[in-house]
Amino acid sequence: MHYDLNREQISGDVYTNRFAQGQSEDTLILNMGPQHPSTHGVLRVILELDGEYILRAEPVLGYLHRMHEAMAENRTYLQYMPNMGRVDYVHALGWNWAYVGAVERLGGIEVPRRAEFIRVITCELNRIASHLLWWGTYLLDLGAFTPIMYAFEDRERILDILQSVSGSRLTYSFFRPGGVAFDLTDDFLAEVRSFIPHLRKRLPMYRVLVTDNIILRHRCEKVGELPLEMCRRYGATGPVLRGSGLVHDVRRAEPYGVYPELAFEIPSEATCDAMGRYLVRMAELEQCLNILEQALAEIPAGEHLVKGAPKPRWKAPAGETYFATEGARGKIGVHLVSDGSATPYRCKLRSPSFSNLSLFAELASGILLSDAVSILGSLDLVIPEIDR
Amino acid sequence: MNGDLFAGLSLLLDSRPSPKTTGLVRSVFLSPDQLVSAARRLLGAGHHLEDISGLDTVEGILVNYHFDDFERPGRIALRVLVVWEDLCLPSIAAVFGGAEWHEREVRDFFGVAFSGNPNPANLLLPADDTFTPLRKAENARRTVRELIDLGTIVAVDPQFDRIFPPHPQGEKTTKSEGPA
Repeated sequence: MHYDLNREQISGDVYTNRFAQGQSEDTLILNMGPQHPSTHGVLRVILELDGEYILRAEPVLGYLHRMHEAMAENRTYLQYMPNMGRVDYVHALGWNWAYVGAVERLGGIEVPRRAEFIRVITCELNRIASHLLWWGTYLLDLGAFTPIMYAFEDRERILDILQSVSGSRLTYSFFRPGGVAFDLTDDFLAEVRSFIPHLRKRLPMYRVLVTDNIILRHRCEKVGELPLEMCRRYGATGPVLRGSGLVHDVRRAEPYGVYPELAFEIPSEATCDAMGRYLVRMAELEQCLNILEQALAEIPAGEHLVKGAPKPRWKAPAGETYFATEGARGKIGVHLVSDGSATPYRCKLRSPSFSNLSLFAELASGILLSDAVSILGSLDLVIPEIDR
Repeated sequence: MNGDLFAGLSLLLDSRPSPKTTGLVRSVFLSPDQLVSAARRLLGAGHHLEDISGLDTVEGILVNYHFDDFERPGRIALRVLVVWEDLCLPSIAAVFGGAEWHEREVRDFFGVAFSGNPNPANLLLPADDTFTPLRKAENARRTVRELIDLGTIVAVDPQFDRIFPPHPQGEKTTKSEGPA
């Protein structure tokens, strides 16, 4: 390790100084974050402002960088599992699934049918929890304090349910190559069954309370308009892409698990604005409930982990594989390369928030500062996933 | 559509890996000077960039570009080798805006320079760090052929075997696969 320190030549902050080199006359350079409340976690955006309008923006990343990809190279395949819950802690099971999917594809490991249903049930519950967290905090960013109380009340129930089976409330490390760590109990299934009608009853209330609210509409409609062509150039996926009018979901595009057997719609909105992205996520909550209902009805008896599932010192066959899943924020990808040893040779994590945020600089030029808050929230960013 | 996606470009190797085991429908090795043209073709055909990642190998750093199509799913991998003597690649950020950050990440982790990147500064590592965390020790490196199954080869340029010799360390290959 060596450091190339040129600090004597630079006074002040490196990032701001570099950004300020392109500054026009009579403008203000402003750092939004890393401690700004609407940047959740630690995202920093440097802005050049002309009055209240943004001329240029540049996100500064790395405050939560942990070098997860290097960690993969110094532990075994199974030892890396807990890292997956810490990449995107809000939809940890999406990452769990992407990683075990890649390992299974590499090793040619079968997954018992019951385990596939357990994965769907827990992953969709986690997706609801993620969307509820986004919903509450997005509205908090926009100045509405009450909704987060409702959102957290519902989300707590999901966390209790998932805790009963996985042992953790947030950073799940529940999936295993070849199945899941623990079987679902009848109590668990009963809890989920009673949760579905509960949330179904709440969703219309959310709609009346928030979605139809004139203030929210004004903060979101025609704000952050993101043409489909731009999504393509930046690789935006998930609700951000669907909010720009394209029906695309990895669960359908690259089917995995038992999703092909389950009937659900992929919501999309053609408005391309922050409201479109908002409505997509709200519609997805209902679809998650539909998926849960079907999975609960069809879950078979059987093993939750395949016999002969990889042990901690398991060696993967040499080769490479790519596995993608649909996370709450978009396409999660794990690219695994193995040299035949017990440790991954390379593990690349493709994070949806990373691509979704990368378009912000282009989107933000010429908009109002207050709209930047609305846009950042509508992208549903989870910073540890971006920084990895 | 895939048939003539890269027509007229000189590819080092064009192959069809098994999607069931690799998650890819097409794998293309090309030289750095063909990269930007290939990216333009992919954008023109409606593909999007999924990610760019490096892979430290004996031959050099193999930079993998993953592309997919929203409407007609099927992942394509473009692979470009950066040799140790000249760690530089042309940037495709002018074609795919999203590539800017991915390239900067590869620069952080492997020390590959991307000429033409609009903001060639550290992205995830601290501004003054240059320690390339994902480079491997020399004795830990494997050859590209040991790591990547080429699949069904459709077209191959004679140069490919010169750059990636078929059995550079035949003994090592059998040894490493023995205990696995």
